[in-house]
Amino acid sequence: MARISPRLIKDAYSISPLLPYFLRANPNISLAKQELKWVQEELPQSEWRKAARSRHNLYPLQYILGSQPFGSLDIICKEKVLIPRPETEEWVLRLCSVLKESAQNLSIVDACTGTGCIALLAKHELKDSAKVAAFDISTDAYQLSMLNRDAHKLDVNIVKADLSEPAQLMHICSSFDLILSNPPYIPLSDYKLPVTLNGIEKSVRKFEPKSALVGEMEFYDLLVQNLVRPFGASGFVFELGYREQAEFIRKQFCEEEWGSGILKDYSGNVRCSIGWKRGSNLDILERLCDEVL
Amino acid sequence: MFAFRSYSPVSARFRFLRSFAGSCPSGVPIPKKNKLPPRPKWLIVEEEIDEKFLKGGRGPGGQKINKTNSKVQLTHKPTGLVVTCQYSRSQESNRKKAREILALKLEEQQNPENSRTAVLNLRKSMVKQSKAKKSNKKYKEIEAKRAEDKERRELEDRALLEGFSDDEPL
Repeated sequence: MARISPRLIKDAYSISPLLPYFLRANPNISLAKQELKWVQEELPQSEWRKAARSRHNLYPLQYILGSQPFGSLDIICKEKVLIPRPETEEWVLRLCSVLKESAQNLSIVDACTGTGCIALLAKHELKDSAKVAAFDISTDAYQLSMLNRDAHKLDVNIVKADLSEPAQLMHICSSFDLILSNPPYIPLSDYKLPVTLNGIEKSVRKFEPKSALVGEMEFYDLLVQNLVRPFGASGFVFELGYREQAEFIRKQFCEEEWGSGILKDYSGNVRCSIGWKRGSNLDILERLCDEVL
Repeated sequence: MFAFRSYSPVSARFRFLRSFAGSCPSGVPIPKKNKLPPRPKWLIVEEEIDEKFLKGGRGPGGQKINKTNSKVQLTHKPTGLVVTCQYSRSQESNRKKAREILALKLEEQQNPENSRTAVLNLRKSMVKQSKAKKSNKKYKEIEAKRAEDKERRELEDRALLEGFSDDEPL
């Protein structure tokens, strides 16, 4: 991490005595000021100092404030559950705008749901045209997603289940049309590296759950073998971080039967693998693709 | 380009106001806050906007990074106007706000005389002027009263002195 110059600390201090604490997480003053403003807006004055100290420790702002906006929803965030990312928000909204155009009775499941953000936003956007379910293996995630569901009063079926146990998944529903997931996708080797070497942010490594981050191909394999195939799904969108993962998923399907593509995020990084059964009503997923594989 | 939309009754009134803005006569009322020209939302055509989300450059993103800010940048392609907005943590409200700002800027460019921002600025200056006027008036009154008091006291003193001098000269 780059050293913070004494000059910067002095400048920040002259604006507010609390501001220097935000400089470790935000390299420039304007971003730090913004975070301080949000802390001051959303927390009582008695907690500002404590919040500033935790932020200096790189504790995630979303855990301090207790929430993260996700589309038009405000998702409650707690320790031990991954914070929803803006990249996820982007693809879920794009997906929903495509699905909305051809309203149909879709049955959607969100695997490894975490805070429940994907399932809840999908239900919120698609309303009654979709039946949405979600599951997660972690008890913390399960409880938090239930809390979020009740906070927004959305009709989403949330279950605690293990993706690697087909028997547990059978209880959720007998069939799904569309499978969504943001599984752990950072290989252990990159998990240990700093951002500059294509690794991960210190704040993420220190405070967000490792179990929601570290994975390579195994989760995509499980998603295909235990969800897409047995439940007769005709489409899927899986978030990922590497082109190799998209190519791995592509190889699981026969090209005549399944179309497949890649969605890129606003920074131009490979972000999702999309698949659709040719000739099914989820052909429309092709419109989401930035690149067809 | 844009079809110029004029709000004739509103704009006529504000043009009238504007012509007096310099002198600010007592008879012209300050535009009411709830009767300003509307926010020019109709100037926003989604096809003419280039929207970008700026999150501190091109990093790996996704699960690897936890960004807190969500800056939205809009470029209006026909005019090249660029606005950014990052006041909120929510991307959705930043997008909305950025569009509002862009609409105001566009209106300002097309119709500088009667745009919402012009009227807002006019209102601001009128409010300021009227406040200054009121305070000037108040202090002038106080000053005048003081001067009057002083004069009266001097007269009384003089009268008193004159009375003394009449009775027994010093």
